[in-house]
Amino acid sequence: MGIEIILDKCTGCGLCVKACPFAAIKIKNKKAEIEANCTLCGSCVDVCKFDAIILERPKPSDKDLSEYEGVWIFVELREQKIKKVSLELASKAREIADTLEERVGAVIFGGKVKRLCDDIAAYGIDVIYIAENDNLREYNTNNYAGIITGLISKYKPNIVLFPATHLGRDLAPRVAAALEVGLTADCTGLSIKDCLLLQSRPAFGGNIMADIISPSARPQMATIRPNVMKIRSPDSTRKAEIISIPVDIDPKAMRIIIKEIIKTTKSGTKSLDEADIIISGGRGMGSAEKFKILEDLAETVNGVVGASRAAVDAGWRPRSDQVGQSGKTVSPKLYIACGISGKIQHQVGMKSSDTIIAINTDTEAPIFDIADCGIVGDLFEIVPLLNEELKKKLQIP
Amino acid sequence: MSSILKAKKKPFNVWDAKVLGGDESKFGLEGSFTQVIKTYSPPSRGKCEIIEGEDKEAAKKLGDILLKHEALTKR
Repeated sequence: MGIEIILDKCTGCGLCVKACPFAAIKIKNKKAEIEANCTLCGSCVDVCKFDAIILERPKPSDKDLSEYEGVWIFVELREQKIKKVSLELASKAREIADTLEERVGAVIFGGKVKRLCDDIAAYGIDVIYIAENDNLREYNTNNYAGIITGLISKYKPNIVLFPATHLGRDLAPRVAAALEVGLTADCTGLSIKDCLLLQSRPAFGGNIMADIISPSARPQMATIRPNVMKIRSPDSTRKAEIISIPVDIDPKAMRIIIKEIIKTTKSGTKSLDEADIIISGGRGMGSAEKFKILEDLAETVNGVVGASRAAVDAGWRPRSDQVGQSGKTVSPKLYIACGISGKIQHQVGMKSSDTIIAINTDTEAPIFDIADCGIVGDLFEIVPLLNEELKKKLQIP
Repeated sequence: MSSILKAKKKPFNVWDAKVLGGDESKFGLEGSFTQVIKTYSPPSRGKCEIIEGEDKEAAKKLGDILLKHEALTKR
């Protein structure tokens, strides 16, 4: 069990040295040698062109599942700040860990992330594992997956939670596959049943719910939908133990280098998947200009404007605004659908919103089947009136 | 439509673990680490409440509902 170099096959080419995020391989006498700080992350196995590295991770049998302890979360950052979903994960992890009487661990990667530790600790974290390196400032699939796989192999947490964001959905499956463990994607509910993590998620476009367990493998891993879990109130006196993980990333071994990030949303506005309030327009809007009334309303309530596929296809809104099957899946606290008939393809993208309000001229529009409350009427009359009313009550000039 | 009918007559290719040459213990339900233990209908939404009244009145009523909503009160 463990990692081994087949000396006959090793040519001393050094690819593995570059690929190792922990600087745990040295070339001695033209052969690779694994040093004691190896975490069994497997980054070297992937790059070796001569199949000269054999990695066997110890498989947990029923007997030693209990060795795995702790509830971990992956803390997602954006522009080196903690994303809201990370606080949601922390809060849920705390709740689960309390049930299990285990500790909560958080994993943070980035350039300089130590300053964020107190902020996240306040949401119920006991231990924080940080890896700081300039090459970790931007998300990089191979580096992130390698390091987190290594950390899990070393510290053996019982449960690991990732956000079901673009980043988390890219990262978690790689880690799960490398470790040969289960992964339940897109969970909307988590609880503990008979000491196992009970993972609830919608399936078949939200038409059915499934409860899923991972009984035989550790850690039990899941990605969690943003905007679902409640954030607990922070306790700023809470301090976490910080464990710094020494990493060494050779930019020459990075297959992808991010040069520049171009934002599609205006600075200051939230993205659709993070917004608490979304005001969406569909075919009924009629033109790009008329979306102005939705933008005005969005500004009043501090929301974001979305669109149905019809509005995007007509060229009224950018593709990044699209909600639905071929667009984004959102779950804000409040979703206001204006001039959207709400066909099934749109519904699957917004059905999990807390409250749905529909404004449509057609009484028969399917959007009213899933809306909590609606107005049958002309949105061009109602939306501006509503905006005025809200401005008055919220005392916005 | 004619393409749909034509598609019906196309042969099916079945690719199982043997054909793909993978490790058979990693395929199918046996190879999965996750188990679905229960499926059920999602909690249904209540019936849609239609706000009645003239445009102005309806907009006002909707405004009152929204102002009480968590998304606006917790700003």
